[in-house]
Amino acid sequence: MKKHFSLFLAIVLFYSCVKDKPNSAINTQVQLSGSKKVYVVNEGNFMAGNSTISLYDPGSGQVIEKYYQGQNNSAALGDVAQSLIFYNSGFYLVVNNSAKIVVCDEQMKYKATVTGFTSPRYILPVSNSKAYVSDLYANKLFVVNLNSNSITTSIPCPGWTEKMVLSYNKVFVTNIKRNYVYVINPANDIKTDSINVGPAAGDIVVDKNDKVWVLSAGNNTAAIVPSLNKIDPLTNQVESTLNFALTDTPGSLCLNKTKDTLYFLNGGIFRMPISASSLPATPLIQKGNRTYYGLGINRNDYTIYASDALDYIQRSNVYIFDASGNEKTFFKAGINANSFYFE
Amino acid sequence: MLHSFIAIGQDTIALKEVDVTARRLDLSAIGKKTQAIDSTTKQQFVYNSVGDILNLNTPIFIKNYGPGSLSTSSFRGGNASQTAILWNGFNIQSGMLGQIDLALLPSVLFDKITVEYGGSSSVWGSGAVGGSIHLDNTPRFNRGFTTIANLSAGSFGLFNASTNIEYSDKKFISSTKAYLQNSVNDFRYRDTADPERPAKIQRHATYTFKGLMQEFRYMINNKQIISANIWYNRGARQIPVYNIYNLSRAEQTDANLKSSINWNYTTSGFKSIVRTAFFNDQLNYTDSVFSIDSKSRLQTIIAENENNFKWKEKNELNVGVNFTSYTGRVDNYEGTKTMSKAALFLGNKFSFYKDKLISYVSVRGEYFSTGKMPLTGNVSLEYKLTKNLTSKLNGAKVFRQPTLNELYWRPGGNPNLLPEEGFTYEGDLAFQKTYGKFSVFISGSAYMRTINNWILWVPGPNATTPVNIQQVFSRGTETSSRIGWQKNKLKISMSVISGYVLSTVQSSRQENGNTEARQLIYTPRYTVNGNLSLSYNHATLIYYHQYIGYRFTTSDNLQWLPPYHYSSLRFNYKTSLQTTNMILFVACNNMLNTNYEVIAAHYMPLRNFEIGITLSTNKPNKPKETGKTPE
Repeated sequence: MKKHFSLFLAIVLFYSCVKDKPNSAINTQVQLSGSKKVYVVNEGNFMAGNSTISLYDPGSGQVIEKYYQGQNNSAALGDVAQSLIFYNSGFYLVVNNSAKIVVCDEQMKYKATVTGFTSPRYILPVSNSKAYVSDLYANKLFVVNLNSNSITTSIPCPGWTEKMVLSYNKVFVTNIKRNYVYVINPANDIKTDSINVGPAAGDIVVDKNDKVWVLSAGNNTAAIVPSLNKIDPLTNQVESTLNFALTDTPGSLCLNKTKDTLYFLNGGIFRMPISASSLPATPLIQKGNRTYYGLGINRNDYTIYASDALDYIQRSNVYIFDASGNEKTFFKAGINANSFYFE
Repeated sequence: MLHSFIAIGQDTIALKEVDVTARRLDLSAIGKKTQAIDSTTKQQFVYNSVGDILNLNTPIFIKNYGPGSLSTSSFRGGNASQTAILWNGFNIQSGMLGQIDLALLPSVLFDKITVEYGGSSSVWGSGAVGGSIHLDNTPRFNRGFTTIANLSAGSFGLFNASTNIEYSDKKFISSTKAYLQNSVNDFRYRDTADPERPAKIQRHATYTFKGLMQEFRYMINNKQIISANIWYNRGARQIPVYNIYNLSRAEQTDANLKSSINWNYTTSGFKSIVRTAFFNDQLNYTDSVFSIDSKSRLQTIIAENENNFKWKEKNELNVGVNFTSYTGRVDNYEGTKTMSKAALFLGNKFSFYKDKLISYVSVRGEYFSTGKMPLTGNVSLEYKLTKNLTSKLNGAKVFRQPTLNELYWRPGGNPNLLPEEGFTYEGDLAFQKTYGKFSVFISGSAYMRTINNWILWVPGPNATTPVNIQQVFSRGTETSSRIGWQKNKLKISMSVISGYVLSTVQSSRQENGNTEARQLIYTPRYTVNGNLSLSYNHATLIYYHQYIGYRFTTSDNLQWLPPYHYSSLRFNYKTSLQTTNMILFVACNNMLNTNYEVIAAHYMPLRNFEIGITLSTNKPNKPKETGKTPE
């Protein structure tokens, strides 16, 4: 009896004594160089409250993970950080599912929170004191006072409003759920026009000639091909449309520093001068085994940054390529790195 | 069918009585660890779900999103779709999702809950990888007229009522069960992710589950029994708010109809079952804020024949066929998608030295309309080393077929997915002995399993897409120990069930990934469940204690949820009022007032209470027939 009882006790004790506590591998001692920094927006996971910002230092190759948390006594950022801008010497962090915009100073120290959104996506300042905020579910565009950090009014805009640009003092707003780009007059917040660009348009940029480029993802089921549209902001007319193949999945449209070359993802990474009359047939950078998720072009040195989110539930890889498309290095950013801000 | 108190210490079962249950579970259990939830435990959890009962009484980790919310199993380091859940032998895991919500299964519906550890795909087919959970209805003939009513109430507006009205004579049984569970579910918790405003109350979390189960059995003659079951379940749930600023409007409605007809033929050396089942599952998810209105419909048809031949006394041959068809419809399929499978299974029990050494060898060939044919097999051995010591060994090939969602969900579904498949090996040693007033039961198990083509949803060209991307190696140990002491009317027992599992990614095809040798997410390495039971005469007091270790929330194991201790004190008092038997129940859950999350951002209630009463009456058919011991 005693023998069995001690065996029993031994089993119980064995299970209570082995150390289970995991180790955090995050490097907290980082020596930064003087080079201009790269901020990586890491979405984190839906409802997990684990959005982060990574600070990458191209000079030393070092990364500060959870930069926002580090600057703000470990305060959580919320979840699904969608986008980040730097404006009026401060950062604006749009946190989608937490339905807020966090306002920070240039050190990314917390200043204020703008609330009242449903599911905010992007912010576009239209004057020193006013910005527009797009929203996934609100069916409107919010107007935010940048002095009081509060919503002042909204502009009815049914559907999923996404990225926005300003050209010739007009705001161009993409809408994923509609086939149109909407034109808004920022002086009186009135919608003035709509431009048909095809379904699921989310990416929009303005080139050096102030032309507006819109990438429509198409609709595979309805056999509508993705397309790249160039809009003349003076006439609100589509000047040219370049069609992709039905199986293509273009996204993450961006520009280089001189705003004369477009970059986008379509499996691999593609490059195209704004003067081109057709889409590039082959990628600048092959896809390989990777699934590129976010893309950015460093405005300081023309290097190309592309993230691979792997399985969505681990730290992303951010690959850096030189201007010719040769891979230079990669670093680990946070979970679901989706975009970059280059200082 | 009276709930009565039987001595603790019988956790492996032996089905001696002739009933309509297939022989396959008994055969599959050879050389394998099995655990039947005893009737004392069942009575303690009569107001709770199958998920709750498994959570505190087995090493299975229950991934619980909160009271009334989704509950799924992680069995021996596998995921929810790698557990087979069988109702009277029919697999009820959804063909669309690959899993069933254990919160929707009230434990009161099932007369017998049995946990079969380890892989048994060659017996139960796709999904029986980490283990299988068997939920069986076993009403008996000639018990007379029995009525049982269970009523309970608890914190946060919890109300629970269920009844069982059963009539049985020598040839006919009718069993009617009905249940209703309702809760406002507005508990307080501390939100550790929001240090500025940690005190929160869960909002928009009301749930109502109700249903009806009817079973008829008719004995045509002494060889043939025909039975029919029908079970309708309806669950309506509000999905709680998980962010600070939004008001959730999300709601989920489940409506499940399950029905089956069985024909049983039994002679002394031969048993045959022909049976068919039809399930109709609906799941509606709406969210007015996010403009989501998703409706999914799934129809499942199963037809099965199983034959069992006894030869040379204790040897048995089991052979059968199974046909299963799933027809699913949801907006994201852009139409209706179907999947059919036909299986042939064959097994034989070999008996040596008068059952001192037994072995079961089985194979199963399966043909899927959607993919290649996996051939699975199992070899197991069970040897009684001494009168009190039994050893078990088994090895099996296991698999899981991709679900309709994994194949056809648009965007992202991957029609080229291969089944997850691999091998599992296990050894067990169990010792059981009674020394006068003491009884001791100790069992230890060690297992290992390698699964190839493990399916993971990863970013794809259009959307998240499932791919056969990694190999997962799971290995672990389990112990189950119980000591009991009994003197006259006083019984004391203590039991500890522990699980240790390493379930790690062996190789992944992702470039520069960081998951190799890392533990799978939401797979605690350590789980310990213990209970201390004191019983005097008609009163039973049981203290449950649970420890759940670290759960990683990211696949690179850099984020995790802290371990927690959970405890529950449950008290039953049995008395009678004339012809009515009465069981009074009081429970204090989460006694230590632990603030914890099982799943990130889904908090669980702090200390809470439940009270309940079970009333039962039995009017036997003839005085002569009442001598049998009720189960």
